[in-house]
Amino acid sequence: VNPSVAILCLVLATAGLLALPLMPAIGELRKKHDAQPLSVIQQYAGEIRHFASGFRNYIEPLQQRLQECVALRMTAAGVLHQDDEYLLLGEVDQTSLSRMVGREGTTCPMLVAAGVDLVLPGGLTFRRRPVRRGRTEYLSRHSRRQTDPSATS
Amino acid sequence: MIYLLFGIVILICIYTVRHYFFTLNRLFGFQRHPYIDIDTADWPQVTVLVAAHNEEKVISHILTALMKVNYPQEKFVVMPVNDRSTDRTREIIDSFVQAHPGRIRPFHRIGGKGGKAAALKDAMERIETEVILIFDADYIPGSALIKQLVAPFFDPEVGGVMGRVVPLNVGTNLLTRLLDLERAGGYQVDQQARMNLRLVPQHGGTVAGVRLSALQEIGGWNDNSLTEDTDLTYRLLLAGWKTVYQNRSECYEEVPETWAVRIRQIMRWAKGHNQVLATYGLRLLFGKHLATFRERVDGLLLLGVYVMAPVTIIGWLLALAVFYQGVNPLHGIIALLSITAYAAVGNFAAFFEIAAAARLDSSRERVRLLPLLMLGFLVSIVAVSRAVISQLMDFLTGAQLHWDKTERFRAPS
Repeated sequence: VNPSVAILCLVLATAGLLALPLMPAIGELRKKHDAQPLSVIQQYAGEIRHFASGFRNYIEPLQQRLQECVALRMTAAGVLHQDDEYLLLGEVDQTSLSRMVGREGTTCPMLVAAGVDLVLPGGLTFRRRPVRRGRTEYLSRHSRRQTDPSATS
Repeated sequence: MIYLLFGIVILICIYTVRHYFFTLNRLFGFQRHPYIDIDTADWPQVTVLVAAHNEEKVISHILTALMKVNYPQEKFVVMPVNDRSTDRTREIIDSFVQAHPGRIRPFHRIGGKGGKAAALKDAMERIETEVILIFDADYIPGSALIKQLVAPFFDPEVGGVMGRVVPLNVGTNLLTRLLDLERAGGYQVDQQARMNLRLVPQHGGTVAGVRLSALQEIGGWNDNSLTEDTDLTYRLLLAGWKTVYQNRSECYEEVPETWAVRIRQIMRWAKGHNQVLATYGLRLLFGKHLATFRERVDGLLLLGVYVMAPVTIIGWLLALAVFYQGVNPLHGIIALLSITAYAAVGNFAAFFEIAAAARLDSSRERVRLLPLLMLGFLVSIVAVSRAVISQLMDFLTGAQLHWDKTERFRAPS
């Protein structure tokens, strides 16, 4: 092998290896995938009233229907804001409640709103905090996983 | 020579441990945000100082933002400190005074000593409120920010407050993107870790507050200092006052867009830090005051960061000299420490800190720029070393320190 070619190959290989870790950096520098200023909460940072008000607005469409459910001692289900499932409880029937919100070890994806005292099955994970007018009891350990800010009350 | 190198390696190791400790604390430790829940209170009277020297490009933005903040109007006065501006700054401020009667009390300074500290010192004589907030003119505060920065002052031990600085002009060029990462590391990890660990969060002189009585107790602003904020941090500490950092109190700023401006900025910071180190270093470590042992040690390490740049360069030169002299340092403890020292400047404790900050900020793509930070690191290490040499020359020749204002890049509105 010609020594010049060998040296050239060595230099190119070394340069390539050195450049390798820089490729993602140069790619990001050119394409600017993440070059916006950090989104800082400018207007409502730490203002609990803002979030409370946002949550009140979020569940506002359910208020009237929930009152009807309480008056008629019935349950109702539907979709809120296009893709959030909800369950309204005007009375709590423990046997059917498990069927509706899920059994132990499962996740309840729905927003549960109750106009009466609520006794929930244990071992459930709620994607959204249950909303109720009366007391809430859990038969055993449960957890809540927040998936969106509107779930914060 | 080998012993000097040994000493330098140990110093670098100390900073390595410090960086990793801060980062791990920030990632896995308990996070202290003691004042974040203060939402409803009998809010005190507050004066917001806006330091402005030839700020026609940006002054209207901050004044507009301050007129919209969520704070009781009768308890809130904005005082633009127009320091000898020769551009349209005065005219713009006066137009805001007319548009918002009673809410802006301008201080047009037409003479006197140059520099931000001197201007703030003169403005202080006109302030009557116990709480003072300070912003540079290129900052854009959100409406909730004022309450957040005032809240810690309900704690009678708190003398100073510092919020988080977030670059606004991130996407302009390579430099602004690198500075965005550096700022994230410095605030999201470094400052918050110092807050968590009850060390010495640093007062940054903007997006910041100070208690008037504390300021009066320590003798007001030091107009001989190039970094009046660092000077203030240490004088508050020595007088027993706490400075707290509020990571959620975020405010946009403009970072330098050219390397020349950046180099001037970092040289001023380096000189100012070193000035404070020379003035208060020994007293901080050994003096009789109320600072705890950990505050003394951390405070000294914080002041030493800019000294480390020339020390590292000397270390590199010594390592070369030792090698060519035939001394083999690569054995035993020196070998181990050398590898650790390499990890500090190369593999990269500070870089780890910045990567952690990017993760905490959920900014996933920008962390890819991390290898390019080496460029910023090299520029900084040379600029800071130049600053140290220039400062030594100034000291020997008795020359006065000169305050350089950071140039603005935003288009005027």
